[in-house]
Amino acid sequence: MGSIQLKDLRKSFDGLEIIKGVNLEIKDGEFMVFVGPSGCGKSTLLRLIAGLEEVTSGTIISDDRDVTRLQPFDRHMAMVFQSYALYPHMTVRQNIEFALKTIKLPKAEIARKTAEAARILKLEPYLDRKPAALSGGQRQRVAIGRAIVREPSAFLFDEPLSNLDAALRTETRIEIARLHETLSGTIIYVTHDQVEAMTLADRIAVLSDGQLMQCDTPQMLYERPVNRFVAQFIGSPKMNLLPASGEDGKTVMLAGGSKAITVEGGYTGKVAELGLRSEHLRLGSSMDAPLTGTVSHVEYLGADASIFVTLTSGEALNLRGVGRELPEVGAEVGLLFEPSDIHLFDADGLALREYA
Amino acid sequence: MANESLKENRILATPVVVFLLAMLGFPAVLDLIYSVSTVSFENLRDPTISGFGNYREVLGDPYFWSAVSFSTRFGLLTAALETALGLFLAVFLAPLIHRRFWLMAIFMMPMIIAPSMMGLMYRLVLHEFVGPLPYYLFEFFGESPAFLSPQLAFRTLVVIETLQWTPFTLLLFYTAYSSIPNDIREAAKVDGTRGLRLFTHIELPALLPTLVVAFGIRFIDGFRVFDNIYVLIGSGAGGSSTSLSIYIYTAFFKSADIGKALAASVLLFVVAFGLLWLVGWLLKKRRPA
Ligand SMILES: Nc1ncnc2c1ncn2[C@@H]1O[C@H](COP(=O)(O)OP(=O)(O)O)[C@@H](O)[C@H]1O
Ligand SMILES: [Mg+2]
Repeated sequence: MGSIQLKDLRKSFDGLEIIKGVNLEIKDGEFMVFVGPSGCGKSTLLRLIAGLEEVTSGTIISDDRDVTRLQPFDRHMAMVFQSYALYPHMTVRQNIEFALKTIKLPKAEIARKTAEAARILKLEPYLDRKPAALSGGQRQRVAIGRAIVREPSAFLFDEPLSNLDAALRTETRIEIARLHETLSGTIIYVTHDQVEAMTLADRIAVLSDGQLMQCDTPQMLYERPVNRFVAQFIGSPKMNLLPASGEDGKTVMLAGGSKAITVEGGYTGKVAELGLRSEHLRLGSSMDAPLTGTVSHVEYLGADASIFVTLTSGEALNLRGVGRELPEVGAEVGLLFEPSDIHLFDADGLALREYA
Repeated sequence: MANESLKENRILATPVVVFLLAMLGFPAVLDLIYSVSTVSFENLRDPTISGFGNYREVLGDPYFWSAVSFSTRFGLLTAALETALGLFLAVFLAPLIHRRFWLMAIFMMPMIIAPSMMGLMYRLVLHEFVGPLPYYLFEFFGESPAFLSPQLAFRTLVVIETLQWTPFTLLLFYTAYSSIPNDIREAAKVDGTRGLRLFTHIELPALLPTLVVAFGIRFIDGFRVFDNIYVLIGSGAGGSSTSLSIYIYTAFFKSADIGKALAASVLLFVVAFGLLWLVGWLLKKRRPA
């Protein structure tokens, strides 16, 4: 019904390769999120799938059908644009109906589908307004309405929330999640915001510089990032990285540290860096802690606090503290962590830990 | 707050209003006074007010009505042709112009030439005996239409005017066409709209305000046409190419019928103003929707 396969997909603009060979399989009914920093090629990849850009090489399969060279419409996908791209001279109703009229559906059916979409999206009071007379959130819903009446095999969203203010963004995010449950269609959703990605996705494809870094569930991306880029991109604040060494496959040593850390499950390769998320670090006495330093800055956030520590070795670290137990700036502290929470990377940034 | 901005508006608008009053107001008042006076070159500074006789005379003059008819037909036809042609060329050439914008400079050439020079040029080109166009037509087909004869003058003039001013509408339409957001086109494409339907349902509505403006401006400009016609054929045999402006000019300088000429010019002004207002109203009506 709505599975999509990308096989070694490449795209160049004026000889410059922007998408550098992406292989990806999107399952029917899956909520897939493309995430990555701005300019990494997310929109381009989505537009290749939609048929708005011509593929340089590679194949796009939709439901066992090669759609690589097909016109956008013949791919049976609907797209919601970042700018909404509503037709300004048409009312909300006309906007929603337009695609159905283009394929000359019977009038009664058009009316039924439009009414259904308006009901799901709570657009009934606005059907006779023009887009200019709508708020950002309402325009967003019209754009979604225009997509769902077509009953496409897949919905493509390009940063649909980026033009909304923060409060509306959360609300619309929840609506989109609910919509996915209602429609149970395949969704490909592009965002640069990892919170959106984590909260919405069944699986996330992390892109960097036109390449697929990792595609997995939010939990797996968070727990087992395959490289330093994914480790630092997913999770907020960014994962701390400390120089470390070790090549025996069982223990690692922090640079300047005295005690070896035993790695649960072992690892393969030559360790260059050790990664620790700020939420996996705890403050402790400086006596027996593997890491010691002084508190350089504290950001109070209410329930949490973001505590910045400068280690004795000179490295800066960030850890999540409890809002009610703030350390003094300048205090000598020790930092504790569970050996199972560490991430190990080699000099090229590849993750080294073995998991059971 | 509202009062504040009203006051600001007034202060900001004052220089423009003073300028307009000085530049346009004085001649306009003079115009109005002369149009209701008995006046000739001898008593220009001392006209005697004589009521609406001039207007009556103008409205009773069959040459006035044929000039009105000429100007209206000429204005409507050239405006329609220029708008249609400009729109077609803008859409058709948009991909080309987009990549090579310097082409626009070449398309703009006819507009740069003064209309009177244009008239002069065509007077040479189309001249029955020395003109190259009739010469080659004779050479290849054995006959050539008399382009400047009373029977063909209107058509010739329409073609010349259209050739000169289509670049203007092309420029307007190209600007409007290339400012249509591309994602609207893409959204339509994803939804299965292509080719003609894309143009008629998505692009044309976006161009509609420009269409009204282009047609309005070109109509007014065509309606008051003077120089190219005057240089090319003058008022024509039996007034066959007398536009309203030429009628006014002839009455003023040739017949020294100053009152009559100015009465006609006031009528022209009223019509032009009415049309401008109509265009403005049409545009405004579309916007709040
Ligand atoms: N039509 C185009 N022509 C040339 N370069 C393009 C075009 N579209 C995108 N690019 C380039 O491709 C890169 C990726 O763009 P995009 O896919 O929009 O990034 P993202 O959506 O991840 O922010 C950018 O460097 C951009 O400049
Ligand atoms: Mg983008």
